[in-house]
Amino acid sequence: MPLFIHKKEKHIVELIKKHADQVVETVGLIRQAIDLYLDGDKEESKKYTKMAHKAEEKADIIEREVDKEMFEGAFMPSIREVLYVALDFVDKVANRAEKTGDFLTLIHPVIPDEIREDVKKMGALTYECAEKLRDCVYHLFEDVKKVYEDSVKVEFLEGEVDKYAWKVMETIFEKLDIKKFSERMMLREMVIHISSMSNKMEDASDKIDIISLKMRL
Amino acid sequence: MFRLISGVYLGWGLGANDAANIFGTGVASGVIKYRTAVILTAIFVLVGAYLEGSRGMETYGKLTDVDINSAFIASLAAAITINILTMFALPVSTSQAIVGSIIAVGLMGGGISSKILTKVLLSWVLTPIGAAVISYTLYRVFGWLLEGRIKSVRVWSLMMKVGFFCAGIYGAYTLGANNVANSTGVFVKAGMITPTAAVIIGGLSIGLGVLTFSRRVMMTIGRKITEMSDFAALIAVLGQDITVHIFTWVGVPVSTSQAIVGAVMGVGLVKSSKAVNLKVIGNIGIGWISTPAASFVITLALLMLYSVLF
Repeated sequence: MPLFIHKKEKHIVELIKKHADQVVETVGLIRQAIDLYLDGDKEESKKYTKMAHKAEEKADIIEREVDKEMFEGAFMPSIREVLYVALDFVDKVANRAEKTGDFLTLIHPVIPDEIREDVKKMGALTYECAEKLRDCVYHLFEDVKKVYEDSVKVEFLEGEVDKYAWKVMETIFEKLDIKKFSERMMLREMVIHISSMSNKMEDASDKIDIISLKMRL
Repeated sequence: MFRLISGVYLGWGLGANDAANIFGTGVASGVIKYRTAVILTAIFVLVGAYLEGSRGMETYGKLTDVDINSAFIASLAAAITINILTMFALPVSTSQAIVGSIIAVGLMGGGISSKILTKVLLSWVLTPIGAAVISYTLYRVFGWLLEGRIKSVRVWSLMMKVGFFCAGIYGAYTLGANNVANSTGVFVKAGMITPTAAVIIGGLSIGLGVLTFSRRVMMTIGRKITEMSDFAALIAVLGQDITVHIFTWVGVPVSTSQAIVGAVMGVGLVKSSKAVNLKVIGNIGIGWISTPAASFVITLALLMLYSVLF
């Protein structure tokens, strides 16, 4: 029995890592889509959003496979329970990324020059945050001591994204002379969409941290 | 041979109740399926009874002289005691019930060996204390060995699963080895059956109790223990197993329930001195007195009734 469990769990671990990779890929594609949109290449941005859709779909398929295999009895039940939740939270990151891309592709907000660089910075930090979340997932199965450090970094990067979000909001509502209220609201929504990705990453890293805490004696 | 029924009944009840202390944690937490757990318990109880079960029987044999009828009455009184005390939700132990009955038989007949009685009473007191000390030590030692050394959740998880599995099997073995004397021990001294037959019949009765009626108790006890961390629960079960095995070598059947309570406290003491629950300790103390006292009275009553009737 232990040998059978060993093999099964090993496979699940590979799938969980693959899922994290897929989520990071989705965030990376959306980051590209944001950059292209900000540079004015809306058609190319749309292509990246569609690619992100496919990456997110793959992440969903992997998540379902992990859920199914874990349900058959892998890991200690106490760990399995939190792992389900953590995996779901990691998956939500890809969902948020997808929605951000959809927003840009379908709503076409008008981006003032004054906020372009800060929004790009938000995208870059969000991607960095996603990479740290992936490290968090990997370290759960490779070096659990580092999970805490990773989740602290995710939290820090999320804070950085929030700082830029605040700055952009300030510019939109206090500095820029945007006539239409609807345009301001659209920009606000875009900022919320982008920062929601790192918010979800922070939630996911918290859940992963709980798993590592369960191993403390 | 029909007199053996009371011993078989006692063994059955013992199996139904005490299997919870062994695989309860594993089953309640979902690590081991109930079916697998009860089959393994039944098998290893029999193995333990067969290989090491005779020691406890020797001790009971030295405690006093019994004949076939008094053996039957002692065994029956112990079974009735357990049923009554369980009905009133009072702490109960088969080992303590059967000793109360044997003492009653001894006082009505050839007397009691005070040396053996002291050994038995001392073992009862030392069971929860020993379990607490052993599990505290195990927690410290394994904690020191493992802290920071296991890098993967997968490896940790696998280790815990294998640990629960092995601790369960070991626990079943020690239950059979230590407690089989409670079921059929008195019949050996009475010359009714051989020690080999006694350990086999006793082991089978306990196994039958495990197989047929242990689910509810197992889930109740198991859920209480699984409120601890996986590691702490595993150490508590292991601490209980080792304690019961030590008393098997000493030759005194002890209460596995009191051993697990002591073990849980020992594990709790690692984190806080508040883990010592005076109410639980009080319950154990009540059990030391109420169970043998009740079985003593019931045995005396049955012996008197028997002498009046026959």
